[in-house]
Amino acid sequence: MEKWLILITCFLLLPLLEVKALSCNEEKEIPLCPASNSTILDDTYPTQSFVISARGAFTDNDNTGVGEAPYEMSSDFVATVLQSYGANKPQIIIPTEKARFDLLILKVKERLKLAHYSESQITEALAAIIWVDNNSYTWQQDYFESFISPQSGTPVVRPISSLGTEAGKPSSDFMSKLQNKTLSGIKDYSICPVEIGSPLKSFKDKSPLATSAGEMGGNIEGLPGGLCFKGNNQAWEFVMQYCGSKENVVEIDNAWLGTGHIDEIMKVVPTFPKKNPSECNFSLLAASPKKAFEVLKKESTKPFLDLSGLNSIQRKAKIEKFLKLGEGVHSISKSVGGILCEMIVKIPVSPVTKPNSKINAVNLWNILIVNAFAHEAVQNCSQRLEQVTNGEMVKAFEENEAFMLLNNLIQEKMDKNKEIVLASLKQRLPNCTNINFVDVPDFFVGETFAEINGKKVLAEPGMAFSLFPNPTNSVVSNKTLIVPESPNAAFNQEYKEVISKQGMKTHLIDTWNYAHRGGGNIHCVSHSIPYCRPQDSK
Amino acid sequence: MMIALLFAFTIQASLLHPIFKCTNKKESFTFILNEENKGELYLKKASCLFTITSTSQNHEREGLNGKTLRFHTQNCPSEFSTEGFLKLEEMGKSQYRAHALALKNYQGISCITDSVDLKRLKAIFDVAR
Repeated sequence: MEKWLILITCFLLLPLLEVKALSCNEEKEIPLCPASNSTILDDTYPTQSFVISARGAFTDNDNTGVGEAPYEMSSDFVATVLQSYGANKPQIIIPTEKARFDLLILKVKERLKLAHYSESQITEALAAIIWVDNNSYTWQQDYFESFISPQSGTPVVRPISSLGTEAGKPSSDFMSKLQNKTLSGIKDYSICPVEIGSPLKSFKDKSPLATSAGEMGGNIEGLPGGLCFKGNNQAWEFVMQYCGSKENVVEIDNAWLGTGHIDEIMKVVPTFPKKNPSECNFSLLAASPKKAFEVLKKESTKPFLDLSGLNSIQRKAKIEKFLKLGEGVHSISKSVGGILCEMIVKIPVSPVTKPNSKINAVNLWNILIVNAFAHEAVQNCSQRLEQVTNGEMVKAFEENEAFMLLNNLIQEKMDKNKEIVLASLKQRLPNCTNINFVDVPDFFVGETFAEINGKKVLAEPGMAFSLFPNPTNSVVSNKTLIVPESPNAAFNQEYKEVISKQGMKTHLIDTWNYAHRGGGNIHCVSHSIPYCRPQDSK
Repeated sequence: MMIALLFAFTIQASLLHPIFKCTNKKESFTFILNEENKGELYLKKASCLFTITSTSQNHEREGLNGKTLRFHTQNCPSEFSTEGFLKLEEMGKSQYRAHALALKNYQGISCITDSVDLKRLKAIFDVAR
């Protein structure tokens, strides 16, 4: 009898469910799917759901007490997404173990309470968070990619074959399970429909520069006008699996990056308020060493590392954090703090810029025998790191030939990349007369140069990593851009100013241990699943 | 006695056998990692010794994709770079392609595995993790 009742209820509810599913992308304000036949959307499209990592690369054993206990970053990320939307919140999917999920939810609750959410608002907000039983994995961006079906506008998630696999073979056990469980979870728990598409095949054998990293989600990015980015570390055959036609492809040079992902250097952001023509409401952020120098020079007397508001123990702990090793930047077996120390011990402490600081024994030591005992000086560099100003750091950078060469060469590459992207966008979107690239401050390290006819060039594939968390590796959440916090206050201020000019709010998150030390950032630890309105619904 | 000899032979063979060797036949370039921390580079008739300075991971949790060895060369012929690295890519069926930065006038050079002692190669990166 009970079974019959359930069946009858389901039968009666079925039409309602169908109406709900169909109505997800029918509203007129939802932008039309690309007419170009490309299946990847850019970041101006609305997001149906976010997939967010619950485990940082280096947070579980972090006992510094400064900023990043295991759940700090992920709870901040989740709470910010919830707060950046009004009534129609996207779903937030968390693939992780149950215990970790429960702890994360507790932290999110705490954050929402601090944001003055009422109990009922908290309950409503938390209902948008979905647990998917899976292993925790930091890089949620990389092992699958979200596309759309041009016919329906429905998201289509596709696993990436080459991740952790040998080419042509099925995914390794860990990655295969990770992919299957996350993608099934997205499909099963989404209120709006999501399809699971065919795996993206690896074509890294088709091009000498193509790598597995080049085939990861962080390197599969859409551009406005139905265009797609292509890195020169991807084979054409790979990109043609989702980009529709060769005319849609915009190839830029990114093989010099250590991780090798476009999201480390460029980012499409929507602009507000919306104006006509509607397809022109976007800007692009571009990583820029030149802008980084400009910003530091403008605030030359300010401290290079922002330790404001911290007591002496916290200051020490934060400096220790910069001195910790990891991956990515640390591929040269040096911490960011260590890299900075090697440079700043070579410049004398200027008593003029620090009227209140005494020239103590350590500083005098540095002044007298700078280069000869640089290694020992690095060991005792914490104090210098605390005190060094932006102006002094600029001097230290400028005196380091390899740092300057690397950053100048990267700026040249970025300028060329911007020209290529602008030309393609202008051709595709002739009505958009004011397409704007916004430079955001970003230095790179990991200098490895090739030498061609006596001239040094960037090695490809290369080993360049962002010194500080890269601001283009950020996430659009409605009208808020979630950006990794820089240890430099002037950089953070610059991000806020330029993002504000796009009509967006900035929310900064400390990601040092969670993502930066692992060679990635906020975009790398998450996945936005956008959707669109089919062209035939015009 | 026989067992001892066999044991000694096995130990010797594993020591003599390189951890990783790859070749670019077209360019007559060979990279050989003889031991955990050192190896040799060959370009046509020229050769050069190198020492590993560091190893690194990439985003991938498993396998050798993106794993990198950085090395330093000393007193080498002019065609070799003083600083270089080898970045690995798995190509299937125990085949590896390596992107090496080792030569002047090359932005990078790729080579295909001739032989690999997978256990010892993986161990190098496990230490780094």
